[in-house]
Amino acid sequence: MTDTVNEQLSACLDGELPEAELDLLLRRVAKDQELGRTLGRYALTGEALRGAGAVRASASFADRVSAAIAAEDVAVAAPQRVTRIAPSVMRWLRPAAGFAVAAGVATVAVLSLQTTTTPEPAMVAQAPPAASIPANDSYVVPANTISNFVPATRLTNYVVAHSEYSSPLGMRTVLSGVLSEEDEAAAAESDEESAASSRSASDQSALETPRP
Amino acid sequence: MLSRAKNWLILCCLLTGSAYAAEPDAKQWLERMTRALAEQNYEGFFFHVRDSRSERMRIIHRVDKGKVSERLVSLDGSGREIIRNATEVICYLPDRRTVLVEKRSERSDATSLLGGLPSYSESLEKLYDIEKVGGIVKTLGRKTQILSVQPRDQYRYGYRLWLDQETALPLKSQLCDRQGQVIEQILFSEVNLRDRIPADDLKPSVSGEGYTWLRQTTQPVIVAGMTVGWSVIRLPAGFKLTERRVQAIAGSNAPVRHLVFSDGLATVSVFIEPRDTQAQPMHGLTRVGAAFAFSRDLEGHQITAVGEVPAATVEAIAGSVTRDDAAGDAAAPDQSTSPP
Repeated sequence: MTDTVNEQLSACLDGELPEAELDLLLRRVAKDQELGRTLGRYALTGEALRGAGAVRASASFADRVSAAIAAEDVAVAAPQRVTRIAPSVMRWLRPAAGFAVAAGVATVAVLSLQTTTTPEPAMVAQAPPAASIPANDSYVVPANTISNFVPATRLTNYVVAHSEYSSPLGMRTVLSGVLSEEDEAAAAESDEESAASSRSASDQSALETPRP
Repeated sequence: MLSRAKNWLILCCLLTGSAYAAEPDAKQWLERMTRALAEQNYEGFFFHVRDSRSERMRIIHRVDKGKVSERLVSLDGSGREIIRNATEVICYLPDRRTVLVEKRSERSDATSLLGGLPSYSESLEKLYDIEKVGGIVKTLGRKTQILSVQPRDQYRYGYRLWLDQETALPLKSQLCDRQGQVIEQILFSEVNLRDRIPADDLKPSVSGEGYTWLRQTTQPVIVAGMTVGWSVIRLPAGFKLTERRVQAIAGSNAPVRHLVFSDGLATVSVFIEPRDTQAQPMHGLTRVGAAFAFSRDLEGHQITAVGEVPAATVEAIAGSVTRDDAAGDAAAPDQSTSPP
């Protein structure tokens, strides 16, 4: 579904979506909360497209999406979304995800600062690995990992180390991806609030940013 | 007489041929784009779209004496800004009262938002088909030429670029897999060219005074250019070892060997470290964002390949890591940290 919506939105941005489909899309938004949230991520589209600029997309699309979102915001605001467990995580990660697009490494650096400590190289070289306690030993790659959220530890650190060399488009992919998935995982956790609350709490503390 | 007529005919053909050549081909379009990104001052607004996410930012792109610097301003209300140049990325996070400073590797080409898009070279053309898709079409209200940079094998992703006819700036850039599925894209909603951009426009709107300044050093390099004892055989076509070192990586108890392979556009890192007996071994394929990672166990070591490439690539590269027996004895100071 999401893919279709994205295609439609992309088509809209190009002014390529037929009127009838646009109507259909906006009617579906009115009914479907999840779809509304997806579309909500395009909330600022209208503003951007209306800006006086050299390059413009269809203004009517922008207006109508804005209107649909305005309506949707009211609908979404009413049923309370439980964010009891990880509000701080949500607050932090949501903007962080956007930020990661362009910041590249730096935003994840925040995450790695909070989740890990870089060992002194000299000490490491001398200490046998078995004797030292891993900073993050909770890392387990599940058997079927593709759709799974993996705690931001070893693999993420590899990704951060890798990103120094990766090209920007790819790097953005990786890093905003890392953050996005944590974001989604946080959302998922907050939804299944009662289950495994202690685990969630510990996950949260791992993700939480150091307070200045 | 006949031969003179023939000469005329040939001349006509040549003239017609050159008339066609005046129409830029795919290679010339790509070169135009690279030049525009390296030489043109511009500012505008863009969306980054991946999966169901869309993020919007303002960009100011300044070229001064051949050096690109950029300022990116988040438009999500957080007031966050990123200022970057070839050597440094500074992120202002007013909502966290924090500033992050990071040095960039000289080798990294990640100096600008679109700096990582393909640029033409003969080696690129060996691995990727560079083609124009159709003629001039209207995109985002502008006349654009669509360019496709598609890999010739299954080991890398491709690009589709919508280049503005007038400026050659990529108004829309997509990273796609072999099936043509879009992995992510950048869409400009507005671009304005500027003759010059004052240096002041690159300054952040907050001073960062009283903020926490975090200087993120890149993870310390222990031994640059040395990863004795290991090599990768049978790399996918075009991938070459571009960097190798031993470094400390957060979360790992022992120094990690880090090898970097690139085909000039796509990059894959291979990490090799002694397996931590306390930690669960990592096995198989994992997706991290849009990157894939493939891990395996080899002679008491954990091997992991990571990259924004198809799963087949990380699997192939991780799978062909081997231990050099000859170098075994002399293999690096960190040999002592290997489990017995």
